[in-house]
Amino acid sequence: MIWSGRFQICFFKGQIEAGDMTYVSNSRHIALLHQALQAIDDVLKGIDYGTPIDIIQIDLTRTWELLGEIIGDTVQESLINQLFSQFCLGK
Amino acid sequence: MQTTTYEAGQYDVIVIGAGHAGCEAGLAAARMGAKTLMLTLNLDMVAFMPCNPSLGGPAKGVVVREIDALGGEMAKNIDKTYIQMRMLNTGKGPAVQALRAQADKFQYQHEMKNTLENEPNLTLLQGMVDELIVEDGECKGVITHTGAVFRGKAIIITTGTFLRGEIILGELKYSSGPNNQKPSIKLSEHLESLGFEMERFKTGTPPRINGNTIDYSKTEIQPGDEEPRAFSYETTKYITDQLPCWLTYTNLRTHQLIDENLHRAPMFSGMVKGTGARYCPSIEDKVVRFNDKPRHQIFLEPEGRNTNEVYVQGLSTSLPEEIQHQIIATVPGLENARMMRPGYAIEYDAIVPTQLWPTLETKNIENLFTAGQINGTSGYEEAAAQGIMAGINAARKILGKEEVILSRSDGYIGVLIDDLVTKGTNEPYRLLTSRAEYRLLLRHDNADLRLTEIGHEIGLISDERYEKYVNKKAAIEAEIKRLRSTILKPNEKTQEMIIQAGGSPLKDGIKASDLLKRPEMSYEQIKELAPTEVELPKDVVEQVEIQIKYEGYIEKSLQQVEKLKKLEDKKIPENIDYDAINGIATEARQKLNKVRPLSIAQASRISGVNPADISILLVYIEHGKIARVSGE
Repeated sequence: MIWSGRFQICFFKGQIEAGDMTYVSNSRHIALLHQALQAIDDVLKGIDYGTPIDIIQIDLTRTWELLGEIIGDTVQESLINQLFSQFCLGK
Repeated sequence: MQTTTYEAGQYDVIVIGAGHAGCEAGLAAARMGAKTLMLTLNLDMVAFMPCNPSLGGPAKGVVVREIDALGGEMAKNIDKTYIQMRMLNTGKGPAVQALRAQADKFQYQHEMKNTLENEPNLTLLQGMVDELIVEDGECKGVITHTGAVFRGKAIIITTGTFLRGEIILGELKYSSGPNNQKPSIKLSEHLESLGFEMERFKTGTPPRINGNTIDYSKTEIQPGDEEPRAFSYETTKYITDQLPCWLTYTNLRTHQLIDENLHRAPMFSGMVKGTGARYCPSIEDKVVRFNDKPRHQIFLEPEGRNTNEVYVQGLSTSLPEEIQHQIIATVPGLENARMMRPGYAIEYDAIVPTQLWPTLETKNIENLFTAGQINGTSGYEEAAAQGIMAGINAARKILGKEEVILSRSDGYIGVLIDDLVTKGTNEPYRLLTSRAEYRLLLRHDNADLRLTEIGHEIGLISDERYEKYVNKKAAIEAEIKRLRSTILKPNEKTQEMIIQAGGSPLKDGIKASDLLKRPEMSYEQIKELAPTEVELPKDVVEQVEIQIKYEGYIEKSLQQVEKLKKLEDKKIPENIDYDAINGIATEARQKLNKVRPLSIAQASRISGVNPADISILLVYIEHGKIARVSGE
């Protein structure tokens, strides 16, 4: 569903081949993927609506940040609260 | 022979330089109650525009408005002295609209000098500062080359492109400030001796030609806007007799001529060591970099109402004067044009800006601030923005008040200063809209909504103006509320209006605000369907329309800002020892030590510091907090 024609053009002309099936099992990651999908959907809607590119970029940035949270590329301050609540970090 | 020094006066704030940064700094400090001294090499060069005699454009135009919202002078000054005013990108929506003005260069200077001369608390003096008085890591005054010793509590350096300036014109290279003024040599050497890291930049300017010798029939006229416009929120009188600019182009002959003479171009012969701005290329640069383009735009911009000098925008060059004559003659309309001033390049020293706190105070020397092109920026607007912030913070520091730091979501000023002090710059930094993450929030139209509160709080915006602002804000909110609570029924009048606008008719009733969201509908039409009691002023209507139409996206941007604020609020302890933190990459450690960021947000923006490093930093700081709280 994500690899529609329009996106293939943006992302390496669809020529990325996953070596093996990638599974995402962490529930937090799954939730983030759903949000990212929604954000991309908003981008496409914006394009159809004729919204200026400067404004559509907001949704594209959101997508980027959401995906970044999965692979640890986006700085997450709430991470600290999570870590301290889930783990004992000692003295 | 050493000049004997003499005590020449005590001041609160001393500003070195009266360019665009210096003027804002001096005025801000004086208006906040600090006894201020402004020293300039040449009183005839106050607020001089060495390059393009214009202000504004994308991003830069917004900065001028932000300076105005904070209580600065630039916007008011240009509103009094422009020869042409144009709103750019009007067809592309409010997020990218930008105002641009051509200035009467000489009038601009004259007005600003007048303002400085008549400002209470401000002393204007001609003099060259050779060194700073620094004791125990604190700056306490300056010494001029005539031996005058001025004592000050805070000193702001705004020397622009004068530090060890060198003009380069073809094979000629000589020590000079812009436009053949005296350069500042001793001060630059002194700054280096104080331990400041300097970098060498270059900028350039095109030739000026005599407007009487232009054949305008071969050019395209570019008039100003008929609709009256102003930069300052306080301007009520508009200049109606505008002067046009003229458009022409280079051609293959021009390019050929340049190619044939590249060996004499300082940029390509190795004479210029400084780094130039990518976004301000000389014509030689353009011809080499974009050699497939058959022609480049040339704008002929009059420099003032009482002069024939015309600025040839697009022809910035340091090719030899002889070649410049020939190049000009190849351009349609300029076949017989006579040059009045040759174009040239200028190299100068700049301070590496990561040596500054976000308040623009230097990290090494207390009470010493730097602002403007000395920090490695390019442009009058960028300079003025730093000037007003340095002036505000110098005055606040002396008065024992909290510093003022604008965030990246407050304004382009915030973006500019954060970029400089966090990332540094290796070429003259120029503001572009792409530097701002929250472009939709940093618009030309809402500068007052973002910054007037701050301007009023610090004392630069009068109570009178503030009251007007509060009323405007209330009117906007009231009207938005009204439109959100008004339902429009699908009656004949409504359907007719929608169809005429090109939209699809209603099936049910709709909120007036939701109907306004449709791209084909405008406030004027909604107003007819749901009339107001009182006629609302244009600027209120504009805000209502923008805030409703872009509501969804504005909300998303605000959410991103919220996330940023959380990281901004995570402060890094002043005395943190990065060397004691295990697990951070070496490069990150180096960079953190150099920049000494104040918050996690700023730390995350340093190039070379990765999210993994930030996570470790977060844990370390949190650990420290818990340890302190539990009394260990």
